[in-house]
Order: sequence, then C-alpha cells, then structure tokens
Amino acid sequence: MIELCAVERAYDSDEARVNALRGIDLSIDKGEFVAIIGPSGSGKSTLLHLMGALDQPTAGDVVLCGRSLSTHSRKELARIRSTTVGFVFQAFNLVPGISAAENIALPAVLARKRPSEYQPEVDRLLDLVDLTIKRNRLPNQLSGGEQQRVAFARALTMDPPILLADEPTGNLDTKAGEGIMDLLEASHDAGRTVVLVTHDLRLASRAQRIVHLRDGRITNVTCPSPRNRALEDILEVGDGDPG
Amino acid sequence: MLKFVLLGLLDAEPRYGYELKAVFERFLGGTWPLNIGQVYTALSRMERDGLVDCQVVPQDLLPDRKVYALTGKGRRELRAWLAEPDTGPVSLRDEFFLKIAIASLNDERPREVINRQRTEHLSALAELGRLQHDPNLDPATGLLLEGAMLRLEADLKWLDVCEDRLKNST
Repeated sequence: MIELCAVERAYDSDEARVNALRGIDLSIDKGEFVAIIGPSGSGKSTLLHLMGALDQPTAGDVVLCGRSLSTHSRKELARIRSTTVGFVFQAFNLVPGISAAENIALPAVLARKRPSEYQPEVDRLLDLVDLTIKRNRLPNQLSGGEQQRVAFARALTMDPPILLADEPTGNLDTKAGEGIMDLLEASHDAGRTVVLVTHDLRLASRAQRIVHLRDGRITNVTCPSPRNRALEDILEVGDGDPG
Repeated sequence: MLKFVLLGLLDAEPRYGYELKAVFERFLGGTWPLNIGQVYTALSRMERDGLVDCQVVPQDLLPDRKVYALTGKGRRELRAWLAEPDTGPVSLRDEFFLKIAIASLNDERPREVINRQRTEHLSALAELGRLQHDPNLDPATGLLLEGAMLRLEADLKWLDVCEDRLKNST
C-alpha cells in the first residue's frame, strides 16, 4: 500500500544542508495500523508528509497504491493525494470562516463534486464524529476536541484507503485525545491503512507495528502483542508480607 | 504494609474477615491476592496491639461472626502512616534492569535484548491501556494502572538511553 525505497530528504539552508531522512526503507501493508515514534527532530513528520505526497524525497522513491510518486507532476500528485490519502494534523487546520459541515464537504467541493453526490457522506461523517447538532458552528465556536473531530471527518470525505495522522492528539486533553484515538482505531477496523505519528508511547502501543525513528533513520521496528491477560497477571502490588 | 491497607479499609466501616478480604482484593483489582489466613493473622496481631476491636455477632444457623473496627490508637497509627512520605530507596530490583546491564557488559547482543524488552513493555502498555477502558474499574485500581503505565513509559525511555549509550560506545 505504501512503499518507501532508500528515501532521503535533505533541506538546504544558507549555512548548511540538513538531512531530515537518511535512507528509509519501509513497506506498509493494506489495512495495517503503524505508529511512527521518535524524539522531536527525528524526521517523523517529514516521513509522513512523503507518504502522503505532500512533499517529495531528494533521493529514493515513494510508491503509493502501486504508483511511484516521483514520476508525477505537482497537479497529478495533488489528484493522487486527494483520492488516496486523508490527513489529520496536530493543529486541526480547519478553514476558519466556514461551518463544520462545510469544512467536511470541502475536499469534495474542491474535487468539483455536486452537493447531491457528497451531502449524504457529509451527513454520515457528522454522525460518525457525533457533531450533527453542531454542524453549522464555525471552527472558533467548537472546542479543540470537536475541531479535531471535524478535521478527522474531513480526512474521510473522499473515502481514502489511507489515513495519515500527525500528532492528532497533541493539542488535546486526555479525554478528547482518547476520542480521536477511538476514531482512528475504528477507521482501521473498517479496513483503512492507518499511519500515526506520535511521541506518546501509550498511543503508539495500540498500533500493530511501531517504527522507531532517530536522526532520520529507522532504528527499530517492534510489534506489540497484547495477550489479553488479567490485571493481576500484568501488575503486582504489595509485598505479600502479612506483617 | 498490609496492616496499613487493612486499617485504612476498616477506617471506612467495621467489617468481618471474609468481607475485608473481598474489599481488599476489589480495591487493588486483584493484583494482591490474599488468603483468609493472612487476613486473620494480621487482624489478631492488630487486635493484640490495640489497633482494632473485635465484636462477636451471632448469626442464625451460621457460626458467629467477628466484626472488626478501628480503635482510636489504630486511627492514630493509620494517620501517622499516611502523613509519612515513603523515604525508601528507589527500587531497581526488576530483573530486566540487570539483564540489560549484564548484556551490555558482556557484549551479548544487547541491542536484541533491549528490543525484546521494548516489545514486551509496549505489549504490557497496550494491555494496561485496554484495562483502563473498563467502565467498572475501581477508582483506586485506576490509579494503580496509571502508575504502572507511567513506570512502563519511564522504563521504555531508559531503554532508549541504553541504546544511545551503546551506539556511542561502539
């Protein structure tokens, strides 16, 4: 579904060249839930942007749904992006002057779809994120958690097979963050490929595979295997001393 | 330590032995199983030391019940325990700390040892996270879960540090 072969990304500034990614080989299967973790500056977001065709590598190739991204023009990349990838960002990135429902409809409007085509989907998504009664509110009339739920719904408007989330709970309190994680997991359960960038180990532990990134390189890949043990088999409290 | 937890639970209301065992285990989400013998041994010591009083309550058709209640002395001892911060040494007794330290020392593929431990900790983190979602979770058990998850996160960070040190030394 997503293939990265020897991917490098360097940024040139006046003083020096910064190598954000230094040779990434990674293959993500259809329907997989992958978390990318690592300290700030390790290249997590750069990697996610490359996966979503928001950016292009300086070397190597990204293959999305069987299509190599290096051979396409910017216009074609935008088209591939709009139909295959949904993005959720840390800062919500909603359009300020329009309602929740209009934000969710936006990708379909930009793709020149007719309201009769997208309206049922927008209604369904508003229901999915539990915001039907607030559909006409502007972003600044919604809480952070609600804004992120709108952003999540907007990522699904074009029904993309891939969902990419960059620290989606980073600006939210624990409860609102939990709501977004539940939506991501439900989206994965429904068959989508989900890639989550986070520095939160608890969130990452819920993925099927965790890619550890450091200084632009993959240092480790782990697959947590929760075993459905009872609490007393995982956690030990007390010293058993009856004294 | 058991003594103080029992005193704390009796402070809320007087209870008989089996009831106290059940409340204790529910309070700690079953993470510290007790046998009834331990409970009665602890209660009789506490009674001997004047920390609890025992009242015999007769029952129809069943043996008499001994109901235990906190005394003034027991309450004072409980308050003193609660007021005292834990000043014991930081505990690193877990086997995994030693395993990784020894693996690093003896060049026994420490990276693999670290990564296996990392996978195990992440799996435990996922399991505890799932248990945290239980709507019937006792609030005290929820606090223990949170503590356990924070420790796992700290241990995972320590594994990162171990890996960094290895990288710098090779």
